[in-house]
Amino acid sequence: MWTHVQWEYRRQIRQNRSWVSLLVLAAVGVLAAVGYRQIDAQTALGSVLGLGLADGFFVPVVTLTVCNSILLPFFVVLVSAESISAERQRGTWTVLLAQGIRPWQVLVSKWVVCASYAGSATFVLVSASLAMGIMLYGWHRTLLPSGTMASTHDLAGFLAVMTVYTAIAQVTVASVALAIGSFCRNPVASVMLTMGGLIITVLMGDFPFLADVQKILLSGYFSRFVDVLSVPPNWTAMLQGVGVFGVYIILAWAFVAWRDPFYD
Amino acid sequence: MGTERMAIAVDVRHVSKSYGRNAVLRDVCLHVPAGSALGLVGPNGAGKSTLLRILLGVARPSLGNVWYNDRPLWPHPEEHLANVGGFVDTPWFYPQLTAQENMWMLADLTQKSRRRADEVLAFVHLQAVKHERVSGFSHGMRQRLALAIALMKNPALIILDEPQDGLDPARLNEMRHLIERVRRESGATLIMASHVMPDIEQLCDFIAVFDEGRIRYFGAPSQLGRGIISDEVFWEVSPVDSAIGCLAELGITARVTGSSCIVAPWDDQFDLGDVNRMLIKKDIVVRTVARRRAGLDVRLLTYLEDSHVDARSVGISAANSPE
Repeated sequence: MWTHVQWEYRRQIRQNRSWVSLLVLAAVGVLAAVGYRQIDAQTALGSVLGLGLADGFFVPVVTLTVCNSILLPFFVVLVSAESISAERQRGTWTVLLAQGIRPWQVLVSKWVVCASYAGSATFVLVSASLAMGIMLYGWHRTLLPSGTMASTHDLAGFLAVMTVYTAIAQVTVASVALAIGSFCRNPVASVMLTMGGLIITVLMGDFPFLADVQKILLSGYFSRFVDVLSVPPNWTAMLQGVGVFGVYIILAWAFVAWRDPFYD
Repeated sequence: MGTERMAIAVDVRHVSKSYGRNAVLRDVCLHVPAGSALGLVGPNGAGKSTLLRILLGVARPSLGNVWYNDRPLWPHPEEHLANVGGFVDTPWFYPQLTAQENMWMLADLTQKSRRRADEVLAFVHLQAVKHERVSGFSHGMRQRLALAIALMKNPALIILDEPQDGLDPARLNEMRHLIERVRRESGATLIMASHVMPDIEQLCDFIAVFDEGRIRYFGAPSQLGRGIISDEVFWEVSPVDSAIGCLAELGITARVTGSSCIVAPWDDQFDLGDVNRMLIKKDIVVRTVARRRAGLDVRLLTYLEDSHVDARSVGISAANSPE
């Protein structure tokens, strides 16, 4: 299995798309930090995120909040959804199957690589905006909206938790995209299908009468990482989110196993 | 090219394949004895590639199954493909990897040695470009790389889908020699779909003529169209009219094809030497005589046209494949 993963990594690394997308995400992180200065943060982002003007730590929080529903998933979907469909369209999938390689070995190796990309994309976005945020606004002990004073250590811990949470969310997006992509022969169609579904579910969050539906939608849990800033941190809400992500990953795999789309 | 090993006998038993409502293969039965070579011929869309996809474990049959040495291929094809090598459709590779890396990757994934991968690269004359990315390869180079991948496992069964597709005459010749050499040295069973009829005639012991998802003919290439299509004999004679009249007396209908050339269908009911002697006896100058066998392509086309007229009866003979 490790051999499959190694070769999958090697192919992914050789693709310009992987590096270009990470560079774009880094640029977004930097631009978010710069642009943050230009807005009336308190008004635009509310009391919690508006604190970014007082501390560089809040810049990645804002960046994640803005990017975690559409932009970050877009890149993750771009890489994941077409991972199998591009192979099928190109014919390399046929070459692999004709060698007697089990489709599940390929799928698992692709999942590992796509999950790694999702984690890397999140890390790059957070790192770039944090670095730029600290450069522009510094990083100090900060008074949280709850009235609690948070040390720089506390802030670093909070940010680590938020990054991991977002990474898990993006791994879930990658899993769903990979599952959908395994049914498509056209990479563009698989990306559009996955992104279309994601955008619709995000937009559904704006309709109050769909509040019940939101509880089962993936996008409804993307921003739960902000709960770490509550005093005390709302771990229950975050764990609930992680649980939902886990269910989605299992459902994605189960659906692929059930439909078995690998052979013509 | 590798050591000889026990070739695989292939049994295709009542295989049908449909995509939605489109039936691509209809109740196909075939037996390919171990070590023999079978050519699949027929028009585009006749079902040849689909059968090869099923044989290579890429497409699942809707009905029926394929047996390799009396073991069913489906539903777990990967368990039976260790000694099977081949490709279907236009072969494609990972463009961001070099030829050698593509080979090494497949060698690693199938637990074959990288040394073996390098050997087959040299065998198909790609040694010089093995460090180049496949994205820059010509079609002919890709075909050879595909053949290299097919041979990497030193297979006992080789399945090739139009290996000569898009090759220039020199490469066509090279590919034919490569395939010939592999068969000679490994003794593997070969199943090959192709539109290059001379290669099919030269390389294959049997052919299966596919049309509309069915096998219309199974047998030796030389026997295709026997009884339907005759040979032709060309004469360069003078005077032409007298020669045509003389042949007509024997019941041979000749036609003029040039100022001094005539041509007549020939089905061995007369001895050609006797006919020529008769022409000379009647003071006809015979400058040239040539007998030409209709090529496999002509016989195939005529056969298919004819089989459409009586498809049902021909279908019965297709089921009688050799043991």
